[in-house]
Amino acid sequence: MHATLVPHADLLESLVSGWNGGKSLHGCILSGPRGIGKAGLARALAFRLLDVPADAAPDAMHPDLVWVEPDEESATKTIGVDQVRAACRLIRMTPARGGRRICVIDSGDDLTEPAANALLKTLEEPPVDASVIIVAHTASRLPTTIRSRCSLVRVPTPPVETAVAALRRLHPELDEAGARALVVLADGSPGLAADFVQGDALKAYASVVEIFTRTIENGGVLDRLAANAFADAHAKDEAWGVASRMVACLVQRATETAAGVAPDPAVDGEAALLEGLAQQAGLTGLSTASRIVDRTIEETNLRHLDRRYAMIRLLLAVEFGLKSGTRAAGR
Amino acid sequence: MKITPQQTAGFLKNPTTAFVLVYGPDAGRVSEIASEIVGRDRQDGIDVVTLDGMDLGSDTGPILEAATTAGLFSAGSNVRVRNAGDRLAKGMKEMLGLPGGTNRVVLEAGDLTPRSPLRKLFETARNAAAIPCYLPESRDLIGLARSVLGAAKIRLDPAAERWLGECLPRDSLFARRELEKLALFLGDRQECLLDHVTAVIGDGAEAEMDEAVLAAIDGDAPAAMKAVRRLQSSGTPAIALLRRSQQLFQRLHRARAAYDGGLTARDAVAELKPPVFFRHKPRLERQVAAWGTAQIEKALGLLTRTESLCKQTGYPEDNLVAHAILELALAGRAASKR
Repeated sequence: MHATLVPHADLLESLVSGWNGGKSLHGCILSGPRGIGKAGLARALAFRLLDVPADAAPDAMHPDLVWVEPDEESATKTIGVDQVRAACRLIRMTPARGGRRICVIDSGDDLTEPAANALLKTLEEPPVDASVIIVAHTASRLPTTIRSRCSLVRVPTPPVETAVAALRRLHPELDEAGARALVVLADGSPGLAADFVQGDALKAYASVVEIFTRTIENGGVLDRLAANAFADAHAKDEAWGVASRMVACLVQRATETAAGVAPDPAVDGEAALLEGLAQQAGLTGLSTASRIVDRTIEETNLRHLDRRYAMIRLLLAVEFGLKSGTRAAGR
Repeated sequence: MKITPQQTAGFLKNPTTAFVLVYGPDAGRVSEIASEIVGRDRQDGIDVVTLDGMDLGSDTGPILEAATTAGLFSAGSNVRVRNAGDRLAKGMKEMLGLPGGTNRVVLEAGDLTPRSPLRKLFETARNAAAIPCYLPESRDLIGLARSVLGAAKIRLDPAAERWLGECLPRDSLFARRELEKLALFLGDRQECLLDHVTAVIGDGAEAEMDEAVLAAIDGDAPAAMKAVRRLQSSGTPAIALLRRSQQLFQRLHRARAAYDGGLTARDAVAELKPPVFFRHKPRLERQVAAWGTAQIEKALGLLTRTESLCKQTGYPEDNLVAHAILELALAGRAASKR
């Protein structure tokens, strides 16, 4: 978790005033894409409501703040029912400093089903002066029973400038252009962009762009040797994760181009490629490719399939999209 | 004291320290060296006591007791500790610091990282030695083959030698047993040929898996199915065969890409990494020329789908895999006819 990634100052103010103005929110879901500073916002909000001085360290402890996150030791990296039960017991007690008690679930996506159900009881009959803040990357995946008992707050993706600045604070070694490209690829999420830095995503993305630029020059035929070389370099854990995302990213951006909403270019030569893909594959071909790519990535991760060939399959999916788009145009 | 692999033979002739740690991934070699060191004092009337690290836990008391007690009928005992691990490190440190001599104490351990306290202790203490046993490489195995067969006055044919270097088990003890079996089989014969080697030394499931897949690629359905049945009756997991098929088809895909790029089949195969086993080369060269990229990709798609199905509950894995191999063999038959 990046403690104070993005300030979200306006949103924070309106939440605090709403809370203090009598609209006490017993349950509140902070929803938005991964890595845009939701957990940081939750912490800032909790500190404000608990009257923690503004100059306190971002990771300061407070007796009335219960922070629930996946146990690092556990293999599944989920929030278990025992953790939630313990937290619910704590916030039922009288506040230590007389104000209120706050429980933050970081994140709701990590709750196991029993854990979510255990939380439900507290949300249904909230103790006086206690609030539960749930950070959610995909609010729609939370159980309906939880969603219906909480107020939903959408945390906006920060403006590109803010995100670039946040990313460069985390990784001072990045230059402006590189940071901007990463933020663009991460859909504006600085936290996700920071993950990309570790995986050398820009290099992977540049290779993908080069491979498909050559594919288009080649009349829509993927260079199998280049595909094999790319797969060799990106078959291992982290490299696979980042590179597979980059292929998905390219397809998504080409789809946006085909739909007439050209995204900001991230690397050199990308705009021409996106245009080319959009023209040759069309919306039909690209949406087919996008579906195959998403399904392949999900299936490979879920069933632990061979990642080297999965990578080639991702590239082949784009080739297939090009082919089917051309065929559709020919008819 | 650290003993490098080059110094190991010298150290074994004259072990200068009473405490020795033998460790490494080559479990067979570890055990060989340990038994040689503890057994060398037998003619002086010193017995061997074997302890197990699993039973000891972190308690080194029994080791010290065994190493310092004078025997009723012997001049004392050397101690050999199997399955030693880092839990013994603390106790051993105390033992190394004790004044007065003991009989030999030899610890056998698995693969220890450089940070392992036990390994560090034995590497740095003056009265102790640490001997690593790395996995044998091809040339070590060839050297072993020469020495074992040479002792029986048998000459190795170059092709047989190469095969042994690539296919002997990567464990010194197992490799030695296999070679002794080979020497016994050869009996009075003066020369060892490739046929002798392949008749006696099996390299197990891996060769059988390769055979199943390569036969399928050749389009030889009966041979492929026979190999698959043999594998399944010997309990090889279906997923292992599936994974191996994927590897071999990916290799074919890679080579075919180079072939389409204008290389000859021979060069395309020669370029592959890791290098192809020399006996499979001509076969693979034929296959590269016969199978087109689209067909290879179709085959790989089938294998991926099969693996995906196998990993869902309730599907009969063995049948699915056998069926996939059969389907590939039929595709192979069509490919080789063209």
